[in-house]
Amino acid sequence: MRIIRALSVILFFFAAFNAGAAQQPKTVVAVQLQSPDFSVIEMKYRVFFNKTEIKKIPLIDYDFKAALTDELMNALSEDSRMRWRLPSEKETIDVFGVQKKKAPLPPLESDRVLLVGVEDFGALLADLASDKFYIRAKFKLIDRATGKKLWEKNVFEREDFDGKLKDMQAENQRGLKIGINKVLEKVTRKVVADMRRARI
Amino acid sequence: MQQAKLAAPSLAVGLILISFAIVFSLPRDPQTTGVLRLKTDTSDVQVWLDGEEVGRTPLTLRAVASGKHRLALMKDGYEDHQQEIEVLPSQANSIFVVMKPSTLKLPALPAEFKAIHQHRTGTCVGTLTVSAEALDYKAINDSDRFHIPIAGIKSVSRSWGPVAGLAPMGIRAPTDLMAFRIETSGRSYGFFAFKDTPDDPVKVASEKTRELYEVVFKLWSATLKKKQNG
Repeated sequence: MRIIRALSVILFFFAAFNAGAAQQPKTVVAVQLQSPDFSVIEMKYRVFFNKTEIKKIPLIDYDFKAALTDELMNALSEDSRMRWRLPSEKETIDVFGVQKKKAPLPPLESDRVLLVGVEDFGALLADLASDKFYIRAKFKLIDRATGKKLWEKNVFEREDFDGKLKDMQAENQRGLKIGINKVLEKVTRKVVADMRRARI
Repeated sequence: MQQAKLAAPSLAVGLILISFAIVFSLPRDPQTTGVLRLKTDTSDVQVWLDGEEVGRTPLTLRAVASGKHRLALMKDGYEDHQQEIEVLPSQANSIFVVMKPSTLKLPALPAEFKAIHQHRTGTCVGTLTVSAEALDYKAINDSDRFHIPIAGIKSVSRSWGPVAGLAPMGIRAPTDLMAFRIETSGRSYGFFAFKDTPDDPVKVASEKTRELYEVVFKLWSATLKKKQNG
């Protein structure tokens, strides 16, 4: 009899575990960039005026959106409060439009949507300060049915570059990719940690 | 009554089996393993860890034994990347590699390669001649000779890992080396290309094997395209 009781307890725990998994809200993670190119913002200090030059550089062989999406999905998969997935090919989400409440969400098979709008990413160059890599993005978790905001975080993450980007001639693309990858990892760590702390 | 007597021991055995299954399905001790995350700028790069193919980038390997490992990354059109990495226990170890586009210049055809041909047991040294139509191998001592039409090749691949017994070309075995393999219907052939040189023989052999692989792969891909179009 005791053995049967023990077995029942084990089965009960298994059933409870499965029930918990079934209750996890399904969440779609939608990532969108304003521009796929790397921005180089150069700030030139002058005596009577400050001048800023913005250049857009395509990173050859590097898909920033795919890299960020993969990093996020990998980190989010450890947050078992929700089941995470990417939108299917048919589910096109206008992330910036939905974030600003100017566009509706398309029909989605999910309970929640994590909107990731990357406003800009690149490097800040300044004569009088160290060069920096940066990512500026807005993360917003909403309820799919009501559109209600559940959690939000604005990110402007920077990472100092050891040296001057202008000095890297031949290795330029390599340096930009390594630099932006560091910021990307930093952003993901911070955002996922912040989301874990939030009572969602 | 007899059945009731048997039920208790069967249940006990069942419970023990379940406990074993649960214990063994759990991840390895986190104190001795770490998470290894591998990323490259270009995606879909073949990843070899300690001579074994483990997947393609981006890749997350959980429960990798802590300590030093040999990492090799390979993708057509890019130079091979090799690195010794250290996996720290109970940590997420992230590695990001920027792949360098290949500047390899392919030799004019017909091209001759000094090659070691791998047998099921042992090896022989000879010359592999690659022409637009076929591969012809002839061992130095004439102990082996064969002709492989390019159109008859089913697959062309290469691997990276420790290889034993390569004394003829001055490589102390076992060592890490690139192997070139082709498969035809019913038989597969393994080769290492090399060059008599005072330079690092492992490095040169891998470069020559890669050159051989690139030449044959290009010819073989052309035959595939012809088949698809026609």
